[in-house]
This record gives sequence, C-alpha cells and structure tokens, in this order.
Amino acid sequence: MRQPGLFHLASVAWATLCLFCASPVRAQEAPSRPLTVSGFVSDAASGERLPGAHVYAPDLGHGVATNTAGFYALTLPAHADTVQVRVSFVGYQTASLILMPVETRWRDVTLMPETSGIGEVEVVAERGEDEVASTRMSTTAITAAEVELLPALLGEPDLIKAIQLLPGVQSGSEGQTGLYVRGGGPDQNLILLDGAPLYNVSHVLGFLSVFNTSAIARVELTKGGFPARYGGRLSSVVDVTMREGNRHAYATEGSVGVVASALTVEGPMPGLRRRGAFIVSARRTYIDVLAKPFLSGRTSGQNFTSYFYDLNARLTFDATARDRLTLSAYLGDDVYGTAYTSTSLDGFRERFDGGATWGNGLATLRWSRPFSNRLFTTAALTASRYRFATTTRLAQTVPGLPETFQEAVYTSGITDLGGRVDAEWTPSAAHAVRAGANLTRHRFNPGVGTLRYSLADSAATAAADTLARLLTPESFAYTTWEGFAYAEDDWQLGNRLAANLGLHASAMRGGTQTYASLQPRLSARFLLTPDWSIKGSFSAMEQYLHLLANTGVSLPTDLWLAPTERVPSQRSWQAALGTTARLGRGWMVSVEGFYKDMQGLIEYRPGASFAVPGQDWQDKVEVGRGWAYGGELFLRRTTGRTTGWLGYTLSWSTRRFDALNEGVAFPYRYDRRHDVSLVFNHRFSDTLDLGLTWVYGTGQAVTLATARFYENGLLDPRQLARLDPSNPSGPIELPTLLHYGPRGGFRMNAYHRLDLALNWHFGGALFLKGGESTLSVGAYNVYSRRNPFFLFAAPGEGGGRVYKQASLFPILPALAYRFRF
Amino acid sequence: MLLRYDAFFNPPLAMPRPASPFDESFFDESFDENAPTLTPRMAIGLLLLTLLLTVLGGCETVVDVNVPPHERQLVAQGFFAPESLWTVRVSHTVGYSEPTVPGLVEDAAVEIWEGDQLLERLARRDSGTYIALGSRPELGRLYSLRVSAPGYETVEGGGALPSPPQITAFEPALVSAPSETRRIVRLRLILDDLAGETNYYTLAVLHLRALVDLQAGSVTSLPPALFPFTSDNPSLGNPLPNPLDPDSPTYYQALLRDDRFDGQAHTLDVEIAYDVASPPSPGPTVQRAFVVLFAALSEDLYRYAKTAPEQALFGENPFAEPLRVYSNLSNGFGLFAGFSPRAFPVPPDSLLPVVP
Repeated sequence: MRQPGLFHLASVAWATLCLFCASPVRAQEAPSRPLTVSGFVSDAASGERLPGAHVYAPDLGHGVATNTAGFYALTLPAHADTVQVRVSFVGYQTASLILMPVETRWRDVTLMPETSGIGEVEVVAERGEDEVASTRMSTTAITAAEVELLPALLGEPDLIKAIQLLPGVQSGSEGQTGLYVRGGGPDQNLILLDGAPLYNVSHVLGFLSVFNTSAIARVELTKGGFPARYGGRLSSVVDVTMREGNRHAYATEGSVGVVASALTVEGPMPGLRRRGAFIVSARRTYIDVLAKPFLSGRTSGQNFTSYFYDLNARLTFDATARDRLTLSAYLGDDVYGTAYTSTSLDGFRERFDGGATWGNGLATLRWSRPFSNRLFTTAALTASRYRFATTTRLAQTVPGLPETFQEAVYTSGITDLGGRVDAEWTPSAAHAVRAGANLTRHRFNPGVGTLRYSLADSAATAAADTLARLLTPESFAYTTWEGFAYAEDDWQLGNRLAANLGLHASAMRGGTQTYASLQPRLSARFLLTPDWSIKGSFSAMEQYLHLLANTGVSLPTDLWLAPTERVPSQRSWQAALGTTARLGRGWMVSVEGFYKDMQGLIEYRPGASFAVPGQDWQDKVEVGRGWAYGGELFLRRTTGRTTGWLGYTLSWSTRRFDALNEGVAFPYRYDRRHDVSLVFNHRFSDTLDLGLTWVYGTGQAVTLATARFYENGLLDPRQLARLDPSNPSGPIELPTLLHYGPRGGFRMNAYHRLDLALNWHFGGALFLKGGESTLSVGAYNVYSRRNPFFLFAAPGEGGGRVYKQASLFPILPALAYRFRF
Repeated sequence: MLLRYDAFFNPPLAMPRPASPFDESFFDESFDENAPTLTPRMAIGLLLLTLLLTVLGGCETVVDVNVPPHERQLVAQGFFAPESLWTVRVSHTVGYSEPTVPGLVEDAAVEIWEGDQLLERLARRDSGTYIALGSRPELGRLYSLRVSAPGYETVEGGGALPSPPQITAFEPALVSAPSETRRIVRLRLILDDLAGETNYYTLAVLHLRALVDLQAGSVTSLPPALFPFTSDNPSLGNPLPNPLDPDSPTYYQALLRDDRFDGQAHTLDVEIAYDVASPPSPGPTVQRAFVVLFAALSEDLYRYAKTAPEQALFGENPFAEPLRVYSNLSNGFGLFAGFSPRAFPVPPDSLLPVVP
C-alpha cells in the first residue's frame, strides 16, 4: 500500500474543510426554511426526459441543471413569493414560467422542440446562462442532433469525432477515434454509456466510433474541474446518455450511408399507457457485401467477411409516479474473416478459415426515485465487457485419409461488474449536495491462447501437445476490485460567488496490491455581471488502469491492465482558470488556461512495441511523469440560422522518464502547439443547410534518425577473427547503426482538412407520404490534403535511407440518407 | 585470448532476430521441424495485417520527408581488457539520407592518454583499425582516447578497467540425458560481488566447433558462435522471448547489474541443451566444446551493450519509439570503455558430475 505523503495529508485537510463548509447548511436553515421546487423536464412531443436542461431564475442569478434522469430541484429563498424561471435546452424552445414556491413544490416542465424555419419566430431565449452561472468549467455538451449536421467521414455521423473538434481535445492519427485531452493519453478518458464504462469505442480499427447517433440523446465532455462524482481516469469524462424513446407514439428512424445503415424504432411500452417507453436501434456495415463481387472475381475459392454492427436498446418503465426503472443495453462487434479452399489435381484439399471479432457489451439497470422534492436517489447495477477473439483453422484432407486440422484461438479483454448509488440533496438555496459510492469488480484477461488439433504425424502431435499445454487460459486472467465514495456540495456564497467542493476517495485491490487515494476537488465561479463570470478549478485524480496500446492506431489487441508492484497507478492534479461570457445573439465565449501534472504514466521502452510477442508487458514499458499546460478559446453560437464554433488551443505536453531520452524531458507524441477547429452550420432555408468543418493541428512529435554509422566495436566473433592482431585481414562488412535526434525533436507535417456536407430536408420518407427525410451529400478532405498518418523508413539511393510519409484519405465523397416517420 | 574475450559483445548483433513464430532460426538446435506452424499469435499477426492492408491499402499515398542535413562526425570505438593491446577502429558518419555508406577513416591520429601524459599514438592497420605497439591498459588507471582527422572535429572520451569479477566457483554438472545424444547441462557460477558500488556484468556461452574428418585426417575450425542458454535467475534481465516456452527465457548474452545482490555471494545457474557428437563415422563429424565467458563491465560498456544490440535487433519499426545508442565520446559517436573477462571451459559431458 502506498505510504501517505504530503499530497494525502493535504487531502485529509481538504476533507476537514469540506465538513466545515457543510456546517452553514444547518445554520442557514434555522431562521426560515427555504422552499424547493422540483420536477422533471421533458420533451413535449415525445415525452422523453431531458438530462442537462437548464432551469434558471434570472432575477436571483441562480440556476440548476437537470440530472441524467431529467430531474431538477431549484431551491429558492424563503422570501420568494413568485419567481420567474427560464428552462432551456439546446434544440428546444426556451420555456418561461412563473413559479410560486409557497403553493407549488412540484412542477414538471415540457419543452417544445425547435422548429427550424426562416419565417418563424426566432428562438426565444439564448443558451449560455448555464455556462456562465454554473460552477463547472471545462465542460461542454453536444447533442446528437448537432452531431448529425456535421460533415462526417464516409457520411457516418460520429460522436467521438465531434468531440475531437472541441478545444483541448485532439485526435490521434488521421481518421482515428482516439481522444487526447489536455495532454493526456487515450486511456485516460472515462467513456460512460448510460453510466457504464466502455473500454474500446472504435470500429474498423479506429476509423469509426461505436456510438450510433440515432440512439444517443447527448454527450457531455468534462476535461477539467471534475466534480467529485467522477473518478477513475485522469484526463476526461465523456458521459453519453441514450435516448429514452418516444412515450406518445411509435416512430421509426433510419439512415442509409455509404458504409453503414441504421434503423431505430421507438415508442410507448405496449400496454403501459405512457408509463414506459422503449427504443431499439441497430446499425450494420455492409463493406463485405459491396466488396464481394470484386473480391470473388479475383480469387476463386476465397471468401472475405468484414462488417461491424451495433445494437442499442433502452427500456424505461415508471413503476410508480416516482419510481423509474431503466434498462440500457449495448452490444457491438467488429467481425472480420477470410476463408479459402483449394483442391489440387491429386485430390489434396486444404481449407483455411480465419476470423477476428472484437466488441463491447454492456448493460445498466437503474432505479431512480425522488424521495422528496429535495432528495433524489439513484441506484444502478452495471456490467460491461470488452472482448477480442481471433480464430484460425487449417484443415487438410488427403484422399483416403481422415481430415487433419489445427485450430488456434486467442482471446483477450476485460469484464466489469459494478454497483453504484447516488443521492442528490438540496437542503437550502445555497447548497446542492451530492454523495454516492461505487464498487466495481474488474476481470482482466490479458491474452489467452488455446490450440485444438488432429494431426496425422505423431511428432507433430507431440509438439502441438507441448504448445497446447502452455496455452492455459486460467493462468493469465486475474481480478481486481475498485471502489470509491464521494461527496460534493455546490455552494452558493452570495449572489456572485459559488463553489463546488468535493472529495473523492477511491481504492483498488488486486492480488497483493492495494492502492488508495483521497482526491480533493474544487471549482468556483464569480459572476462579474449576469452574463460574464470567471472560474477556477482544482482537481486531483487517480486511475487504476493502464492501457498497453500501440502508438497511433487503435487496434483491438490493445490491452487494459491493472497497476502492479512495478507499474503503479496513474495520478494527476489539474488547475484551471478561465472566463465565460455571453455575448448576445446566441454567442458564447470561453477562455481557459490549465496546468496538469501526471504521474505513473507508461511509455513503451525504445524498440518495444505491441508487435513483439512473448514478453511480459511490464518489461516493455517505462514509468514516468508528464505535464501539460496551455490555453483554450471557445467561441460558440448555438441559436439562429448560423451556428457552430471556433476552437483554438495553444498547449504544451511534455513527458519525463528516467529511463528514456537520458532522463531529459521530451515532447509527448501528441504535443500539439496549435490546434484549430472551425465548425460552421448555416441554415439557408427550411429545406437546406450546410455543414462545414476545418481543422488544423501542428504535426505530431517524432524521433528521426539524422545519421548512420558503423558499429565499430569489434563485436562479431567472425570479425574478431579477422581483426585480431595476430590474424589481420582485409575489408569486412560492418553492421550499421543509426544516430537519432532528440526524442520527439522533429515534427510531422501539419495536419489540416476541410469537410463539407449539404443537407437537404424534405417531406416523405421511403416513398411514404408521411414523415421527413434528409439527404446529405458531402466530402471529407475537400482539398485532398495528404495528411501524415505515420512515417516509415525505406532504402534510398546509394545505400542511403529515406523517410516516407504514409497518408490515408484523399478527398472522399460522402452520401447519406436519413428518414423518420 | 583476445578473440574469446571480445566475443562477449557480439551476441546481440550476431544473434537471430527477435523471436517470431515465422523465424525458425530462433529455435536453433532445439527447433522441431514437425511442430505445428499455426499459433494464436501468428493468427493475430496475419489477421491484423490483412485487416490493416484491406482498410488502408486502397487509399494510402506516400510522400517523402526531408531530414535535416547532417555534418559528418568521427566514430571511434575501443574496448579494452587487462593486458590487451589498445585497439581502436575509426570511421565517420554519413547523413541519414546521404546516398552513400559510412566510411572508414584511414588518416586519423589516434592517441591514448593518461591524464596529461600521452601513452601512445596508435599505429594504423587496415580497415580503419589502429593498434598499440607496446602499451596495455592496467587496472586502477583512467585513460582517455583522443581521435582527430582532417575535416572532422576531434572526439574524446575516457574510460577505465573495472575490477575483475570474483568468481569463487565454477561448477558444471549434467542435469539429464533425455536421449542417447541429447545432454542438458547446468553451469553454475558463484560470484562474490564487490560491496558499496554498482557493478555490471555480462555472461555468455561460447560455442566452439570443428569439422573433423578422420578419413581425410583434417580438422577445420568453424567460426565461434554464441550458444543459447536458459536461466530463471531474475538478475539476468530481459532475455529474448521464447514463443514455444514462455517460461524458459532464452539468452544469448545476459547483461546484469548487482542491484539484487550488492556485496553478496550470488549463485548464477544457467542451462544449456545440446547434442553430443555422433559416434565416429566414415564421413566428417562436428566436434564441439563450450566456454563460459563472464566479465565485469564498465558502466559505459554496459549501457552501450544494452542499447546498440537492441537498435540493431528491432530496426526501424514505425510503431516503436527508436532507441538511441549510448556513446561516451564528445563531438562524435562510439565508445571507449573497459571490461575484465574470465573464461571457464566446460569439460566434456562424460566428465561432468550428475546433478543430484
């Protein structure tokens, strides 16, 4: 167990401070009890509850956001007779209502979806009150509807790639879905789908993410100032909420794209009379179907399989007026395979079947209940697993003899089972308290092989026996337990100052290892004017997982691993300072600076990579620290005909490992000095809108060889035989070594790309009279920039060597058709 | 003896590429031709390669990348042992993309200094090699190497001999004879480590072979080679992976530091498995002998021996971070470092005691 250090002592002091801070709750309640108005915010058309909607009392400068169940609890001063409240959510018309807290303690609110149209009244109110007034910072929410308007690779809307367009977030290599947030690594992001963690969010080797936007309501990215409810990762939380489904009517939504099609069906639960709803959404690619005519024409006897699928489902059931049960499930796999059969003239027949499958499966069962209009509770059971499996089988038949075969299977993955309880309590107008606990059992399978065979030759069988004995599944898998408890208080300190104070305590136990930590969290905002605030935050994080991954490309072989005696857990602290302002006419601007310190990071040892098998992973990595700092500008417009944002990040991300680069600090591979994202959407009319994105990023830091030289060291005995003074000889062939410049001392070419999409909306769906359709035509990488994917060395002229840059996508057209009825 | 001692530093460059299911040479004498050729890792490799090529192949384009120009520098390398003649080879670097190969430098001035005193200017031999005619390194003294040549910056570096390893016992023994010709032999060394300092060592088994033709009455020596051995001693560091038997790491050369046994007597057990010579036959037969080589290394040589072979082994993998080769020379590359070796011939198996 780690010894307590100054950091932990500071954490204990922080806990004491939190307790001290909680005391005014009772003190303020004594003279006159404040009044709390609660309720759910729902979509008026579908009845779906809306998480993340903002309930704001402008006269009081006080507001709250709905939780994941769409519940709000707005506590008002005791003297408030009537209070004007605005309820807003992106994509919906803002509702303005008068609350009389003395008379009404429960008020459900429905919001009408925005109806786009030039001639119609502009959306009543502007968003941004929540961003300005909230104590949270470094947090951005995007709805699935916004994502669907963006240009997309091959026309496939992608939630993760939309997040990559936000400031402070970088993509990895070309087209990849990896997230690198504020100098952190791709393993440092907690990606939650309805509260359950997803471990691999990639399809097609990282070119598409697993999120089917048809089934998604919204996503919220938190990259700093983490509230205490979140933990377990260092760099970000990506909280994805699935849609509930339409409670009022059945609806069907579908899309047909270049590589995939999706179908979503939703509606009220049969026989429950608006007490429940369901949504089921499925997506599948058909690359294999499209490619089959071309492949089969080239090679007879050969079959090729390549597809992925997603299945999202969510059932919501109101057991009572207050008790809600929700079951969310996701299942998705990538399936690739190849097979061939050959028969020779003498009757010898050989058949090869090879395939790989990887994917996630998760389920969440949640029960939520407001015990009073001040206390809301949630309990959830979660299960999540990521699995990679590959099978190859080679069978041979000689006429007159029984078939012989050998079959190899390799699997790896991680399975989580967990339980969680959360409570939200609003004791006064000045306090909103949250507390909860979580316990998760991780089962790691870091790579298991099995072999089956039936061989004709006894010697081969004996050798296979030896190999099979070494591939024993149970010798590899292991279990760890991870738990945490937290408490946080959103504390209103007068009209201008508010703070969120929290403490997150976590521990992990696995084998003989135990790790524990106390992580203080603080974020505060000060309102300069009702439309302008400054914010600051500090958060400490601890992560009990490592990802042993290839650099640059998301491969299904990436392994999740628990910390060990040699490789400790990851820790970080981050401080941020920023300002947020509402500029009018739907414009928001946010400027933030941050500094993040990370310890317990792992990097591959020089020369080591995922491609070198048979080695303990701990021998492949070095442990060190890193730090990142920078500034972010986020200018966004969410209402009006023209929406979108401009994001700019200026940042430095550095690593230092005692055993790497001679102990000298070096730039992280994804250190990106300048990162620009321009997202633009313009609605020309009810039927036509244009989406545009342009991104620019400084090239990745790489290490390049600058010189070649002979290994002169008399190392080869055959050379030595000639070089021994008693045995001189003529010229010899010497091995050549390379001199590399400083680690990360060079940069790949800068990355920039323009994508366009033209969306045409029209009535009717699938040749039916009702419903509506959208046809999207666009292009990825419009000016066909040859962006760097990776560099590789190749022989040059006259014995020299050259570096070449591999680039992936030139201009790629995109076509997608979406319908709804 | 110079030949045998210097052979310590050959292995990684002379050894096979890293273990791979595709690389039969890894298995050396123990490779079984009848073993199944399909393994899970092979399957993964094949499938991922197919997938990657399928996904990326259709749209990949390649663009040349310019590497900054490089000014040529001298490369000097001299490893010295007690009583050996100073021997230094000098060459020069070339730019990474330069359309030529590195060259040997035949007009260099190569000097060995001790403090301010010039000990000897080495005489040039062929192939960029410079040797001493009289002086030899001695224990407890600090030497420096200075190499200059027209058109290059002078390179300099210093080094000393480490204390010879204190091997208090060498105990070879026969573990088993699984077949008429197969022998498994344990080689035990007991090392008395010097306390209070970090000591670096290397261990290898040298394979000496000769082709004996009784009919023709000829004996032809074959080039010496390093022989694979196994050990479960954690001090030996990272071995080459052995995909057929992950629990039995295979070494060609082990590098170790005394972190786990500083100042203590430490027992090093390694095992070799080999086939004894067939009974005399009319044709030529291979006669073999083994020598265990154990040396104390200077820290510089240890760091070089860790980095240079690995770079040569792993090559330019675009998905791995490159490895920089250690050098202790200023204004250039290479190494000037000492080592103190000891050699222990292994008796014929018929003379070995049997492990109880």
